[in-house]
Amino acid sequence: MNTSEDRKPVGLLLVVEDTKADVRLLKESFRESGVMVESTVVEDGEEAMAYLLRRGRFNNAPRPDMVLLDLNLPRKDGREVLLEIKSDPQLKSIPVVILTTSTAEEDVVECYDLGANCYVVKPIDLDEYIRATRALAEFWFTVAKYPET
Amino acid sequence: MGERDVVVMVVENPEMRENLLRVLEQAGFGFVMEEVAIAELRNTEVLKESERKFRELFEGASDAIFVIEVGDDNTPGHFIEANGAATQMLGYSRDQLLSMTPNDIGLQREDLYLFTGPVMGDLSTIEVTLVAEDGRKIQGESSTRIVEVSGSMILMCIIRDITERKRVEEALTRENEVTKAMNDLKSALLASSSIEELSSRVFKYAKQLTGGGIGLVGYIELDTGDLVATTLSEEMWDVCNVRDKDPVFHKIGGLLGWILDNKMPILANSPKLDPRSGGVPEGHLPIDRLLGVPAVLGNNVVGLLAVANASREYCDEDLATMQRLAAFYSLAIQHKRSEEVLAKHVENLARSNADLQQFAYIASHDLQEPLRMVSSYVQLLARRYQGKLDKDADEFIEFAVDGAHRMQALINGLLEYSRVSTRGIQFEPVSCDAVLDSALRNLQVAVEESGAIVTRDPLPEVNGDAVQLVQLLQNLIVNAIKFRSDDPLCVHVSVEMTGDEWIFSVRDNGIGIAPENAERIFQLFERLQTEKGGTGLGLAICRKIVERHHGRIWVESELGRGSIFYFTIPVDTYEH
Repeated sequence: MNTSEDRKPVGLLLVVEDTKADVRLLKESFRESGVMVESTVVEDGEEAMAYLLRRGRFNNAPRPDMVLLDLNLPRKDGREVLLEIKSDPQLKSIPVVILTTSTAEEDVVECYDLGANCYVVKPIDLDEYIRATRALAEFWFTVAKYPET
Repeated sequence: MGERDVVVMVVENPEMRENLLRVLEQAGFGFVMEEVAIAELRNTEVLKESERKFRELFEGASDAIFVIEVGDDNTPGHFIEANGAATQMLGYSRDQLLSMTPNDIGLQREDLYLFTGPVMGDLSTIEVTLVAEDGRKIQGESSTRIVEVSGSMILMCIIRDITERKRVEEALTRENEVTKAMNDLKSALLASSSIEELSSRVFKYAKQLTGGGIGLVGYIELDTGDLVATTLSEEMWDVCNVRDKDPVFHKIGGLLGWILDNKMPILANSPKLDPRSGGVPEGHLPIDRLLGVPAVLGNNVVGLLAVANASREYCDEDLATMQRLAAFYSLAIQHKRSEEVLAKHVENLARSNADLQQFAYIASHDLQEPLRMVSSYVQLLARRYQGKLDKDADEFIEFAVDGAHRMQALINGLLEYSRVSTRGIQFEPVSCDAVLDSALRNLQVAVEESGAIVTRDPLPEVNGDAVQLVQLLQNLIVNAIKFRSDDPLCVHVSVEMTGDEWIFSVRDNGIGIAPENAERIFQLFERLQTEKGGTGLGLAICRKIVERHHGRIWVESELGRGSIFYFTIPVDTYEH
């Protein structure tokens, strides 16, 4: 089993997710996948925007390399967060990956319409979940190229 | 005048005699005239003979003959003579009659044709109504002539009793009308008219066949017991001034209430005197005559038909007519009730079906989330700690992981099952060869692992949901793999066309199914062998898919002899 404590994180992840068990599962699955990521967790859409726009307690927050966004969030819905990120000239180049349980076609279509970079349905099986998180990290943190900020 | 009517007239005046003979001749009457000289006539013997002949004929006539004196002002006076038939018809003695006038037996001036302009000797007949001694009404056909005898005018009135003929005629006419009405009603019922339309039509005939007037026709509503008389809202509505009038009666009193309570008809030509009557509500039209009949089914009153205020008195024939209408109306109500019950059942069934589907979908969908957590963390436990704790812990983790997996399979199956009807796509032409290709591709690993040999005949194109058809064949092949015997598994997919449907078959040489279980296996969560795993949903999903394609699915099998699963798809299936 890979332990990656000795490695440098490949990127900074902003996780927007209100379920603690889901957050933990995500972290554990990154850990199981052997990919070292640094992550910050916010629990709703308002906080996500505050973080990205460096408001309030987030005034010194670093710019994330990727946003993992749940759709059903308290206060501000994931779709609104997505729209705001993709309408903001400063933020829109940050890849936003929708990570949700919804398999509904209309959600998939809407998210891509709003500019989502990728739509991932949370796999039910842990092994698949680990595979998915590894693939995400590998692609968005190592394969993809972004503008220098 | 009939052929048997013979009138003897003794006419002295030659001129008048000529006139009379001419008129009779014109009217086509044969007659015998005996020229008798006045002198001879005065001869007693001749006179006596003539008198005797006259008497004989007069008394022997089967029609009533009245001789009536004519008063100065041309009004009919007393009877001068009446024959035996007359006394028999009326029940008065001759002496009684001779002291009476035509008016006393119901004959009006007009009946005697005095002033309505017949020429003398006119032989046309008119219909009259006589009143007998006992008050009985007699229908008669009357012909009257004014004759001059010995210088004074008399009326000769011959009346034939046609009461019986009239009665038969009327009965026939009525029977005809009732039959016509019943036929019309039957057509209306067969055309599945609404109960309101039928009530209305029954009411129309009830009035028409009983002499007009007013009334109502209504049915008892099954749930509430209310009498719903929609006919009231038609013509009665504007003339009725009852406060809070409503064609739906929660309670109905008086004579109509009595009818409903006692399941018996009421024929009352003076309802106000009837002790059962409670009078009518304020503002109600006064009721002078009433004929009400219950509509009865078995032991229950299901409706009411009532007519009132006809132009004549209600009679037993009216009652009989109303009872026939009531019998019809009972059937109409029964028909309506069964339709209602059926519609309610269908509605309930559809609703509970929809509820169930919604429930299955929501349950399976919403259960996914917590299940994902349980199974993910249990898997994580296994991943991290399998072999690192003690033997018990390993076993516990193993059981938990297994349970989570099974639950996952169940929920997925349930979701799939509920999606067959909720998430199906529209039917389109689908190549079943391509469908089988897809199914086998999806099952590649399982087929290889089991060493199954799958053979196939060319399959047709059908109208259907390709995704579901793939699932159907896939589930059937998975089933064959799951229940294979120790022999190498052979699966053969084939098709046959009979009439207007394709019969597909998936044959295997597996362990087979006991015939008594052949039905059960298509039911939800039905499993014959728990140790084989599975959710008991695969074949239920198959059945649901086949049913959505308007087909049937069944299995022919024996234990140890393999199974053949059949399903049909109509040659032309269009989704409704």
